Amino acid sequence: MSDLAIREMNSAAEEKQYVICNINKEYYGIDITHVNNIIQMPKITMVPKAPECFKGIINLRGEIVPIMSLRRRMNLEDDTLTKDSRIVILNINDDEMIGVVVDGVKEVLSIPTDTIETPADLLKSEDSLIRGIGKKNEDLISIFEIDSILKNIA
Amino acid sequence: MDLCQLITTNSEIDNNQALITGVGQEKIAIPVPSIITIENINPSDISLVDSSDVIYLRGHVIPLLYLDKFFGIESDKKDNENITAVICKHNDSHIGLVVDTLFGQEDIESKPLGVLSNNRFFSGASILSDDLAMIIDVPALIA
Repeated sequence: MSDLAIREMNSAAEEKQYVICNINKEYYGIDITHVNNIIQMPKITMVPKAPECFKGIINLRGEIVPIMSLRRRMNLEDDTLTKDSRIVILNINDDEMIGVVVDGVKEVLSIPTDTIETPADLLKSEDSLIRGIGKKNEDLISIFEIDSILKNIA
Repeated sequence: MDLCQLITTNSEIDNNQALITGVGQEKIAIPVPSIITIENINPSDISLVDSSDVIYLRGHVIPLLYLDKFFGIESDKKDNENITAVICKHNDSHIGLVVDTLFGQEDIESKPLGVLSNNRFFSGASILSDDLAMIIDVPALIA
């Protein structure tokens, strides 16, 4: 019994779970410890004069949650909302939440931490949101650095 | 005891009352303590001072702020129609906030905007029965 407990702790240290989303036909992974919730698209109320990458705010069970478009944040073309579009609610800065719009949520994957490669310096720009690249079969999964999502916002 | 409660509740209501207005599809809440009057203005009463629209009302020259244009909200308002301006006051300055529709007065609770709370034009948002309204910060607009 104690053997089992030790083995579980070891594997937890080596692997992390990621929520796999797709944006612009690419796969992105969000560390599941940051994920509060995944919801369908609600009505978004626009916030005038807010940074460009914010779509507005929503009412999540009586709390106001700002919603960011990751496509706008990464300078991709703007979201086209479909029935697969979801908002992933993230816990950030201790007790704050933001929601990010993704094209779809696929699954939760365990990725061993030592298989995640850091992007080559060539690809890594100052304002990159990507911490590393994980692999699942043939697919590459870009792992978000949640803390940098809110950095350098105009 | 009952009377005390009544008085407390009343004073709270006064502080949290806001006028819910509509600009395009969006709802904007204007705190009642800042509001002087609501005026229905004929376009012919609008004059130009320094290429911005003003009205002359009871001895005051009041600049008009078209909230749809200022906030970049799409509005289907046509020219040459009467406009609705909510006249607000902060210290000795007045401003006329031009809105599309008036929904009436409501008791609101201001919720913080989280990471967007550095927005200088809004003090928060309020959850209405079926919608959210942005609560405007009148002193920030006048300054």
